[in-house]
Amino acid sequence: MTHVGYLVAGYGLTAVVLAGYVLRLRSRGRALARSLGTQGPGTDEATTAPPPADAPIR
Amino acid sequence: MTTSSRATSVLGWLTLAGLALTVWLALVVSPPDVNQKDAVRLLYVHVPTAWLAMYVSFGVTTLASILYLWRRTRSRFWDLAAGASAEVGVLFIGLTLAIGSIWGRATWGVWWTWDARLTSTAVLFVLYLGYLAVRRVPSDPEVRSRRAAIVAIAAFVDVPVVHKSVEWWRTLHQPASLFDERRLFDPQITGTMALTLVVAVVAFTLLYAWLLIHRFRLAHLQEKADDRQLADALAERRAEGGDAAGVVETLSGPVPS
Repeated sequence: MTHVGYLVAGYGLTAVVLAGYVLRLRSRGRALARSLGTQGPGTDEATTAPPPADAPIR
Repeated sequence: MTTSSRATSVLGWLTLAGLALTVWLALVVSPPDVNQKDAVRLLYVHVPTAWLAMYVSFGVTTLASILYLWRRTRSRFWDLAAGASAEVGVLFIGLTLAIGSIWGRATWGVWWTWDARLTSTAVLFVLYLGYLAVRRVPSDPEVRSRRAAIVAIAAFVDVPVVHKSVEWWRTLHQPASLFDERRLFDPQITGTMALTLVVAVVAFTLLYAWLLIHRFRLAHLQEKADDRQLADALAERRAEGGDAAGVVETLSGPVPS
């Protein structure tokens, strides 16, 4: 394999892995939001907002 | 996307711009190396992913785990933050190993060698995979989080070993060019190559922040979904219990008060 081949392999692998992870995060987020009945992007503050740092343990 | 907000959208676009600039600088502007030729361009992915995984991701995981274990600051927030950062870190350390393997094949002629730096990094990868596995073990949520926090802190012990491995052992891997206390003000990489590396580190750090926020919010949504599922199941059982009481009442007549 030439050096360009190694570059294509390295950069290609990085792009595929990162894009795959981003898509997985997005699809799981959408599916969970559907199951919880939220309306859309960031509309349900109670659902999408992270718990405060002093939130009690469940 | 429900894990999005206006701030994360802006961060996402900044990250994309940063990554595009990195690719352009790395593949077009930056010159080839005298010895490694074009293979040196893998540096601009390998170093930022290693830096983010080892020092940032696992550092945040360890800090959040300590804050979770400390009674005064204990909250779900820190446990979720630790888990989210570790998952992103495992992704980055996996990429570090894969890109390093490709780079090694191009420059050393081998895909893998049991070199101290490579081996200690592979051990780090396995340790944090184990941490993610511990987080999935079915158990009481509080007990599971506490166990996971202890594993995260224990796993972080390998980070200084990875960092110092090129000094402590005779290795094939080159010593640090930039992220070294002695070379911080006397870097072994200069000019366009240094600029490209700095831009790449900034772009990948933005990417880490974006991924961390989304993974954290996803974990929060997952907990809410689990809570709702449990509440629904309990309500169903209570309704079944109520129906059964109604049947008993019908068969035996009204219960005297």
